[in-house]
Amino acid sequence: MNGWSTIREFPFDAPTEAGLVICAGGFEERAVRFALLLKKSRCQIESSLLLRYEGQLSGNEPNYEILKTQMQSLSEEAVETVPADPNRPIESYNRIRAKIEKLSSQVKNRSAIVDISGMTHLSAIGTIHACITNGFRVLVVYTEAKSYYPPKEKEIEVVRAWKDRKYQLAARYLQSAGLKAVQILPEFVGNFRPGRQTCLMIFVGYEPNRMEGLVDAYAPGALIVFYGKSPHKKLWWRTRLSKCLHEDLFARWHVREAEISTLDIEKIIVTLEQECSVIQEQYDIALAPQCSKMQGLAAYLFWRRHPEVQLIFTSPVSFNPKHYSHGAGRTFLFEIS
Amino acid sequence: MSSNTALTNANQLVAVRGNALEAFIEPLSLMVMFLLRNRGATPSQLVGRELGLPHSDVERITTLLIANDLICRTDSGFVLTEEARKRLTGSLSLDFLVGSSVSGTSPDVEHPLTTAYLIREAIGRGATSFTFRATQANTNLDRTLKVFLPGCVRFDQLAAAIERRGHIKTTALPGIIDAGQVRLALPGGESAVTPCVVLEYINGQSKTFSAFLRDQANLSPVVFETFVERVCEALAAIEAVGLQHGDLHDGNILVKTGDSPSIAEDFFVIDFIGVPSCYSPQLALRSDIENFRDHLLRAVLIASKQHPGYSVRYLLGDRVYRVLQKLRLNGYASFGQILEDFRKPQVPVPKEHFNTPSPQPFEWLRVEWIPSPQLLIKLFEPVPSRFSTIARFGNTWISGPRGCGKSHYLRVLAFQPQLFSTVDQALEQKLDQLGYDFRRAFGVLFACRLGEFKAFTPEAMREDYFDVATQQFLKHILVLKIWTKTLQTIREGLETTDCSTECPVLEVPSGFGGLIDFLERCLGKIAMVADSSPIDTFLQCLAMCTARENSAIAVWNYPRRRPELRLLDERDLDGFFAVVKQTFPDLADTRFYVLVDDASYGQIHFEMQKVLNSLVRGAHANHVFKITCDKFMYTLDTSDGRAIDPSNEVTYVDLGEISTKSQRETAIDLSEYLARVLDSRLKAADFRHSIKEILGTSQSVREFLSALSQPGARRKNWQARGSGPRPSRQQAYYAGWNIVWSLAHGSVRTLLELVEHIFNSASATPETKGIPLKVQDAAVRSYAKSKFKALFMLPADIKGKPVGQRLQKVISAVGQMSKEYLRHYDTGAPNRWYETISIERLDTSELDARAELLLQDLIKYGLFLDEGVTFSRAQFGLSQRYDLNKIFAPAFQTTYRVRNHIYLGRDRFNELLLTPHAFLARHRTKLRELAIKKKGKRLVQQVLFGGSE
Repeated sequence: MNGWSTIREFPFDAPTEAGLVICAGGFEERAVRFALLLKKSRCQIESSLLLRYEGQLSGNEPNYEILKTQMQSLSEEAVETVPADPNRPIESYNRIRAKIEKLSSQVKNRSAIVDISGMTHLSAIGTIHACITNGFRVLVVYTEAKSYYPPKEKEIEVVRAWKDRKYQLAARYLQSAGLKAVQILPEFVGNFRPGRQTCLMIFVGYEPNRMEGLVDAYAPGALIVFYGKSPHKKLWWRTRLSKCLHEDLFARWHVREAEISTLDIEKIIVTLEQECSVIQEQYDIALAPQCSKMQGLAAYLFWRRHPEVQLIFTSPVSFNPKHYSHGAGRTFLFEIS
Repeated sequence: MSSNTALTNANQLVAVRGNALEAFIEPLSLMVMFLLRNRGATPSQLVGRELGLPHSDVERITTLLIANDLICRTDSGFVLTEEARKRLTGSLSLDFLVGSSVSGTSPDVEHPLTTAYLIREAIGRGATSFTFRATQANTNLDRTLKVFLPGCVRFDQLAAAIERRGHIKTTALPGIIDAGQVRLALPGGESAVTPCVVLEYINGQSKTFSAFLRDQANLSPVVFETFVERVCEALAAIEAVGLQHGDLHDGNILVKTGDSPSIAEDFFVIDFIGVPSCYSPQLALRSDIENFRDHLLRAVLIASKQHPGYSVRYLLGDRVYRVLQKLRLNGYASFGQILEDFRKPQVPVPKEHFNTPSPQPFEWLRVEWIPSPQLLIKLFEPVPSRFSTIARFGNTWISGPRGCGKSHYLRVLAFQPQLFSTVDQALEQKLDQLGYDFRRAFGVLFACRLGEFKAFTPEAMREDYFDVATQQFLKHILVLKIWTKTLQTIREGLETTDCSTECPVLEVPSGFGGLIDFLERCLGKIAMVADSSPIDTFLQCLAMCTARENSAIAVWNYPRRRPELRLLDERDLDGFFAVVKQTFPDLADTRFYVLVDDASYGQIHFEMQKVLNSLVRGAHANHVFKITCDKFMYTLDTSDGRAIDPSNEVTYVDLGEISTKSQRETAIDLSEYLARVLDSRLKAADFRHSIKEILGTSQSVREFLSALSQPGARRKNWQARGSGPRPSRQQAYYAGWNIVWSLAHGSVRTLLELVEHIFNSASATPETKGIPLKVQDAAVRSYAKSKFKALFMLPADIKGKPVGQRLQKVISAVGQMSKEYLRHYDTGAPNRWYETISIERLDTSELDARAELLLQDLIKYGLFLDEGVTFSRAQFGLSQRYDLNKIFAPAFQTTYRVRNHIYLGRDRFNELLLTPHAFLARHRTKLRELAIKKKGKRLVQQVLFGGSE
């Protein structure tokens, strides 16, 4: 009915067949996990496409090389690469879309596996959308991290540094160097009705500096802020951290706050639907996924139901690769038909 | 029993016949039956050979036909059944009645029709009846005559149904004129008595809903809403008397059009008597609700095709969309439920749904945060000379550093009908003071920050520039946007009541013919619902423009998907405003101001700015543009390659000049101006005292600089001197009104933040009379330091590398150098210090590219104030000057005044920007040399201010 399955662990033991596999050479360790766990004897992959990030090469390039080697060994055809420039996201998306369109006409199997673990929200959603519009059944693969940054013992220090405006100290823990630009792909521009205020729904993460830039640049009429709650109890403190980092920032806005799963797509969408149903007649809605990848995916699926919603992405001045997650945990599979 | 259940049962009853009909219309079945009709009994093998069909197909088809009583097996092969034979030979047709007259006057017919009807044409053929247009003999009016096939329905059944139908109260069903029986002379020579019904005839200009929608170029939710309202009302009324329509196919819902084929006068559900059309092919498996759902879905498909990319929810309207969604989930058991759900009033967002920030007048740092238009106006304190330039009729660009209030200057020009909804004398005075009169100047505001223009970038087409066709299409979109926004702004005026007159702020015109004609000329036919109130007609125009705009936006970057229509341009824009003036009596003499707030790069791409500029260029009779932007973030070019002539086509207002000019022009008293700004906020928060009273008088400059130039380490050690009264320690206070407003460096936002910080530190209340200088000083210093620290996180970058820290170092170098000059440089004159927070260029040579970018960022983020070309302090003639933002002065404990300048040639300026540490070291050395040379005089100065030495 929904057009998607429930999320489950990726069955590495079962045969993997796909017309197209798309991965990105992001800097996180988990970006390569899925590809490395695939076994040639159990794979039938016609083509592969790699997103190669052009910025911060020193961080991204090693994983790109690993992926390239691995996918070359797994694919029947040569691995294709598409450059992704975070400074020109719309153009990058168009390149990805064009490449997928081309590969779509060459493959027989109409399934595409998209590993979003190493992708930015924008490239993940853009890639999935391009696959769907080219008639693929999309299997979204996501590898969770083993540990997340900052560590629990640093929680108080991070919050204090941020609240006391000790930015040099806070910068040691923040994942990026502030907001560079608000990005809106033409596909996800949404529809706006004259005379309505805009309510910006944000999946908030741990980058108050980026958030500050976003709400300041976008200046919405109201905010609905979703703090991510991990499925793992041991990570619930991160929800508290996220709230503490943002409470001063959002206090000046008309704001509504709620907690939302970081993994369970169905629950995320239900929450979005509930919130949306209350405000949709009075507000136009914009949605900014800034936290987990699965929330980004849920935001996309929600957009597919409500194309009038605007999807907003942000790009930071620069990423701090060392402040991102470490290691790789379980790999999940989510199917969109 | 609900109609849904009833119809499900009815469908079960007819399901078998439905299968039969499906079998009948299957092409291969027809071929088989045709063969049997011509050949008579035919064995299976021969059927296959004659028709060239494989045995499996023959087997399948004959099994299907047998199962549905259309053929039967005999010893000599398959033969047609009687029913199949009748259908094939057309013996069930009543088409032969066309041209003849039916009359109920025959004496042997019971319950005859009351008068005769001349049958003109067949207009419908069902499984149990034929429908004709017929002329009633005694009135000569066209009627719908429904004649049942002989044997299908008994008159008593019909009479009972008609009686029940009589209880149905709705105007969406054609009324029954007559009912009775007629004797038909059949073509075979036989005759049969059969029942028939005469109904009101829906005129020939009526169309099916699908056909009506297809014929329009522009749709609005009102059409769909009226469709749902009228059709559901009719079906709910049928349902209420325990009947069901039973044959709600596409042709049985009609839109009656008037003189114009794009105006829907009414909707009718036709072909309903109350007798189920149990053999109707259209009914085979569908209930009324299912058919109704399919009508809506078909309508959605047509509408979406006409407005690609536009949200179905917005296209249909929220209420219709909600109904459709629920229909798709089988969420309704009856039309009554649908209607109830559809009519459910909109539930406003509960007040407590959002946490509202407590009203803090100084926290409204951005105009977006000011909670009401009334406050927006009341809190506006313009510099009169600048405001009069901005407010006059003419294209204007307003620029200035962040926080200088440019958005506020723009937004007070927007039409805000809420200003007239409450009695407020202070507001009225303010409006008078500003010369606010929407009958003369009607502002339509675009807040670009909301991402409305963000997606229009050449990147979306994988280009660096827009091609000519794209530029034209984007211009078309811009014109549509302005139209829509103008109509929406007018709508607010029509819907808001003026408290003084108890009438709408804008008088509702009696008709919108001129506006509709204009829109139809430009955009094609508009589907309208007739008999709506003038305001509803207007809303349909607005909804149509919204749909057209959104649809154009959805396809702009796909050239092949763009609609083929005449693209709108600047003439259409001014033409539109002319029509609006003619339509609305209140706006007859007005001129329209298109207010574009924050059109800076980042909100609007440079290439899109060029498209906007091509609309701005030139003088138009009815409209002008007023655009705010950050410095360096807006282009002068237009999409047609010719740059705008800043001296003729636009007026440029730099609000950043206010602080500079106030130093030279007596006309602008910045202190008074900023005090007014703050006092208006204090008044709004019910503070009793003015800002000058609360902050008090600053230290004298001499006292302040004296203390500032004597760092604690060099102050005389009182304990070492032995006895005597302890002298009061000199302290420089960044406090008092004069210093506080100076530190804001002309930025209203900075001043508000600073004062807020002071008030919070002092826990000020509305009763607060004054805040001690010491408390103010601590707050100001902490604020300045936090501002300086925050530079580290500045989201500026050059080629993807963050430059916040680098900019911070440049500011630090200037600040530290200023401090050192203040402390160590001897001017040689008493009561004079070397106060330098200004940089003066010694030449006009270009800086290094990277240094230039850094300089631009320094100015863009308001860290350096670009004071333009000024007379050189050193009398070199004219030179470019940049001032360090004074708000950083307390962070470096230096002067807040622009007195002496640092003179820099190209190389030194490059050095300051690219290697600030080296620059600072060089100047420290130089300063040390200067200090040594004037050591003697330094001593004199120390004696003068340091104590008894």
